[in-house]
Amino acid sequence: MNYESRRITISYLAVIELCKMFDLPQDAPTQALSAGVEKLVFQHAFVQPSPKPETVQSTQPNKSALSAMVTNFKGAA
Amino acid sequence: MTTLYSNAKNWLVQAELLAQSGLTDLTAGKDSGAGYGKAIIGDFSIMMPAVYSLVRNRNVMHHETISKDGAWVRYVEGTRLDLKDVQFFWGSAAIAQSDHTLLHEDKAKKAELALESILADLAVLNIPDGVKLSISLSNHNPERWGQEIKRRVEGTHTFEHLHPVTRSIVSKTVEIVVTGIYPEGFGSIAHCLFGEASLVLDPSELAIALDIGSSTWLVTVFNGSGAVIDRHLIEGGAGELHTMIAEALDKRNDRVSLLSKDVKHSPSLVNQGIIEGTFTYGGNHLTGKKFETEYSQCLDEWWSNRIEKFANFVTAGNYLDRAKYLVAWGGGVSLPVVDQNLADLGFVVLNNPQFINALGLKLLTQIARGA
Repeated sequence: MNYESRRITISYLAVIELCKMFDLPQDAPTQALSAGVEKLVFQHAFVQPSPKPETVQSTQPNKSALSAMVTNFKGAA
Repeated sequence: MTTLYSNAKNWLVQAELLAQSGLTDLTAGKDSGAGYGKAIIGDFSIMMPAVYSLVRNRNVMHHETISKDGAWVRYVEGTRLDLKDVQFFWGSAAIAQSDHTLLHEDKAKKAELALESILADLAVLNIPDGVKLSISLSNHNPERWGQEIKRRVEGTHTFEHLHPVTRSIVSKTVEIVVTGIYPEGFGSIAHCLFGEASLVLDPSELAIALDIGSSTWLVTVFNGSGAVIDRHLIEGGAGELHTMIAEALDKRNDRVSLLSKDVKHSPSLVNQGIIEGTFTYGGNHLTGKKFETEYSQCLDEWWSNRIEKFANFVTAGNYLDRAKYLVAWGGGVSLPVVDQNLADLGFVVLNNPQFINALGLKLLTQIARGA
């Protein structure tokens, strides 16, 4: 691995998107654009290793209400 | 998470998984239903036509069968001494026999054959040997049938069925405990109020439920604590609609094949065409005929007739104005056009409407076991 910075080119559509994301003017200098890309990389790296817990809307059964329902029902075997 | 068996391939995978799961305790809810029996056993759901056929000639041994919709079962031994060595077919396997009993034609049979229906479910699900099953069931009249069902179902039972994958006969022993027998709809109310809490209702507030089953429309008015305030039965569920369509087809005289003479059309083949979404009667290209027109005509008559009775009941009892929700469940609510009609009227239609009662019954089993 060669530990040197490397030059990349990003398309103009990605530049527009990047400027919108970080509230940069369309003619922002390239250092600002590369800072934006770098920030995205770190944000991504930060989010990745801790996957969000499943956001399944599993409502817990209301046990006391269910027990009351069973108790009130006289015919239960 | 409950898995629905939507196709045979999935069923085989699940059957293999459950057999090897190492589970020793299962909680369950069973809604015997009139047309179809619905059960939630552990995390699995199963639905089969409520049809029974006794094997009379026990010497014929080449009829064992199993599919996701039906099975052959032999009761080997156990608490039910009267069933020793009895063999029977359940579900689609029973429909295939010329001599079979449709449970919706005889309500007593629903109680009398309660154990057979559960054993058939367990066979199709391919449960591990030696499981302890705790189950709650529903019945149209628990006061009349509750003790009878409990007496017939509880105990230790050893039975044989065909292994879904290897197709060899396997023997299973199950210990069944009945935790409760509740009226129709009780499980559904428990599920929608306190299970997945789809309705938010104060104890003093009302909701009106419409259950469209195979043989009836059942209207239940209940409050936020789950107590039933009033109920009303309207005859003629989805099965009646199938019959109307079959009769309309009988009257049609555009014979599509020389093979089809004056046959009586079968409501269950009509049902099949609706479920598959093809609206075609019969499975082959020689005799298959489209019945979309009949469907829309018959549905119109069937629906308007009954929704009017529903409206009369809920307005006469002054329930409609007081109700916070209109909610619908039962297999019939997902019929094409019916689902739309219900939505237009402001009904909350729950997911998996045919399994709501069984889901709630399983919940009641868990509560009874102190889970």
